[in-house]
Amino acid sequence: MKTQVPVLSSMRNFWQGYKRDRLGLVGLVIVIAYIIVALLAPYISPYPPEALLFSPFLSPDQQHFLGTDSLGREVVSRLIWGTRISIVFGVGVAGLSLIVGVILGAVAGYYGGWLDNLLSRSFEVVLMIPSIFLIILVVAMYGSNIVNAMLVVAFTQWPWNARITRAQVLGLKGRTYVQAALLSGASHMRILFLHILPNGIQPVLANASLQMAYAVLVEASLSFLGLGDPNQVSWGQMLRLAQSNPLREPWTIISSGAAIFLLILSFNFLSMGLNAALNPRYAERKV
Amino acid sequence: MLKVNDLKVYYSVSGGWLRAVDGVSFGLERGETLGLVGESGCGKTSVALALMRVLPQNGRIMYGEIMLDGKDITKLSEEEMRRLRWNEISMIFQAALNALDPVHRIGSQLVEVLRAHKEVTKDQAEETVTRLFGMLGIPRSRMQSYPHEFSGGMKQRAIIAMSLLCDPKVIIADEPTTALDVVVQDQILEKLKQMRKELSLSMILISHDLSIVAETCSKVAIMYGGKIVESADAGAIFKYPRHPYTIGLIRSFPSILGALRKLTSIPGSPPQLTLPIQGCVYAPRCPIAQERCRVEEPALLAVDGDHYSRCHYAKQSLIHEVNYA
Amino acid sequence: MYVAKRVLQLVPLMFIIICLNFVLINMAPGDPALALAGAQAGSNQEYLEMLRIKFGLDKPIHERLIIYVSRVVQLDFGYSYFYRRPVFDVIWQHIPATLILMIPSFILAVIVGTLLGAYAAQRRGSRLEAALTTTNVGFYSLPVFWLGILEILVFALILRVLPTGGMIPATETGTEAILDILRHLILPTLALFLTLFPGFYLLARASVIEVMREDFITTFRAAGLKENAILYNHALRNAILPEVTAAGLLFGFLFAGSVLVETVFSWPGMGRLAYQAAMLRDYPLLMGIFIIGSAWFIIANLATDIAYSFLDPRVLYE
Repeated sequence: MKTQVPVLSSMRNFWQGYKRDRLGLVGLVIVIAYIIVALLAPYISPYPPEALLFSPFLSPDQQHFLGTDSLGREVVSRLIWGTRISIVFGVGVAGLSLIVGVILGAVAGYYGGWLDNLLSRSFEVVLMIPSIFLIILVVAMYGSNIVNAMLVVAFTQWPWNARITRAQVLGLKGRTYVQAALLSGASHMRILFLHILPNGIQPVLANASLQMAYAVLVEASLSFLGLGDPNQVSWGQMLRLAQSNPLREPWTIISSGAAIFLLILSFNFLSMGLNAALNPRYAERKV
Repeated sequence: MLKVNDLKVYYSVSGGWLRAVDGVSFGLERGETLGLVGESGCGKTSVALALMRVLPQNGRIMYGEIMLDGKDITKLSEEEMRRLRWNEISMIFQAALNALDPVHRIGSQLVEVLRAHKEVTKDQAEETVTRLFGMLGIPRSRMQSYPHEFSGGMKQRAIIAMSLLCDPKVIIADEPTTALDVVVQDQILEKLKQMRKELSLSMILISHDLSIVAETCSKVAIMYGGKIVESADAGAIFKYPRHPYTIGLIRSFPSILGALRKLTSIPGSPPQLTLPIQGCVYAPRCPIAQERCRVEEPALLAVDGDHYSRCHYAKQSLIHEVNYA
Repeated sequence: MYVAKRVLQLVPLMFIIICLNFVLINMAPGDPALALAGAQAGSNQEYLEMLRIKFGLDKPIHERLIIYVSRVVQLDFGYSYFYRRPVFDVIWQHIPATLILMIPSFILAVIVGTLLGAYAAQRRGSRLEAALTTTNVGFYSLPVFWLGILEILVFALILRVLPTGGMIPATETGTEAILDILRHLILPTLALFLTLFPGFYLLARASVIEVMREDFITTFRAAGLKENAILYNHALRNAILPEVTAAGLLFGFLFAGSVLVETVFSWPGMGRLAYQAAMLRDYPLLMGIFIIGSAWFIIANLATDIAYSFLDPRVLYE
């Protein structure tokens, strides 16, 4: 019995609603641009990011649009390559946090009882841990590679998704079409994942965009503090190195920070657009 | 005392105007109770909000007059209207809604409303509120309670008490018993009837529930698609309905007395009030609709004395052939 | 009673945090003694041996847990090899500086953000409001460390009107010291304020808009209350609830949020301490900071919940 509320037509409606928010569109465009830059980095970067081709602290000109850094590496190339880690981190953390959070939240909301109690307590406890200190601690103790960092950050973020999902599932559980599906013999897993979740997923998606923004910020902050992966080019790392000689490489400071800022801003715009799509503001009709 | 002439209330929505109330006229004399009946979405609440002039931001009174004791209140300034509210005309909201502020105690909210209109001390105000509570069967101790601590029925009584604070001339009751269980519904209705008698109130009772209206109102007006389709004395409307919609409504409610008959429902759904409508607004669902009905909009004409109907065939034999089976 | 119940919950939560620390120590690659000593002490075998005995590293795991927990509860967080002092002392010494920096910025951000947000909610739809909101989203997305560096670049290095960092030279005292601290406070406070207040603005704006849509607002309008009275007595009173929760949450992150600002401005507080400890791989110090940061967070949360329960009567009704 196909009672799955048509996801496709709701996607079309979704896009209609999303289009209305201009900032949301701007955000989407910019994020896509970043992703493209990240994918094409090896092809569009003028020089290899680690190559010591020039003298240090050169001013911007034809050969190097934003100059060179303290070691003589060309800034634009480093900027372009830096996109990769930010996107990977942002999407990876948000994705991981989404999957874990949604599954656990759905299970908690659907089955209820002691399982729900146990899981909900765990959400609370994990949220009690101040993420920044934990992240620093883990990275310092276990090594500053990207996988560690991503795992820890995702670990601190998944309970938010779990809570949202749980609330959604609790609300949708009682709907008629769910009862109908149950009566027609569908298994619990099937109902949960095919019928309930597709309809309740929207607020989690809006939140996902915010989590991506947060992940990008964390990655930049960690690299800035020197706890990032030393083998990867990262904007935070560029800022950190430029900090020792700010007057001699102002363009590095401005551009690397701007790259971080713009990506975070775009994710935030994106989530605003998603909210506009999910809460269509029609007139309040108390007819 | 209260006369509404050709009231039009439209809401601005994406893509145009929603014609919630499209030319509604009725009158209310001292001591009368008018029942305004219709499905949800037919414009009943908008009429109430328009009378109080508390329409939401995108709602507007596009046309028409609301004459209260000879004064057109649609023309009043906001400040003048504010002084008039609650003193002359007040409203009973549905208790099911978030009609009261959850963070303040109920007693203090009513006191605040009273003191916004009358120069009384806090103690005097509290006395009045307590007295009203007593009249409605709410124990004095409940003054200190918060809204979420009240049961549905008690909350409704508190809201009724609130509407009586300033001795208004007219009270508009918007679905005062919806979402309450039948036993409580009955109690509330009894209270309303009692209040009406003791205080000689004039009331407009809005409901989708015909049975409630039948029990409490002297006059009835049936609304559909933003217009009044039939209006008459309560007795006349139930015994001699003259509009297919009214007939459909009556037939969809069971009756303890009388022969056992099959309940019927009206097929179809309410009209889209954002699109222009040609002809009779009820035609798509009407079992006796003729060609004329789809082309020419019927006017609200007198069938018999005070009994009006908006149907081309109200006075003809065709009206007796309305059948929804 | 609600308060008592919540205070009691402190204990298991802190226990979990401490256990988490314990897990981290023991899961770390290599010798747990190293984890307890910090990378600096790697070559000092005597010291490592002493730690092994003190923390019972040769004993079975459940005994080790008990030893560790009892030590922490007695505020013995270990010894910082780098500072040559007990970890707790080192941390304690650095807390005031963080408080001096964070608390004023925080209070300013909450007040300005909330008031501006409420104001914007009333002017919703106007060009001013749209510009204000977009600007706020912009500041909200600004990485605080970038803003800090830019400030230093412009004000300290180019314009030379303000210091580049630090708090005060060790020699000053009295009013001169206070003025100097204030001078040094300007840039970091500005950076913190600009990145913190937008969150409150956006939240206040959203809450007020949300509350104004509630049914009871219509009730009071119909009842003829003045618009101002409705706004102050009812709308704001309800809209303030999510603000309190958010402010409490931010307050909990007081120490955590100080890391980046203090690092950029070389401000000698707990945040910069954490940074240095991370650089030096001074694990005992890092773990101590983690525990204290967590404890602070938990206590702040508790205080917020209690305060909230006074403001929202629905909470106790369960």
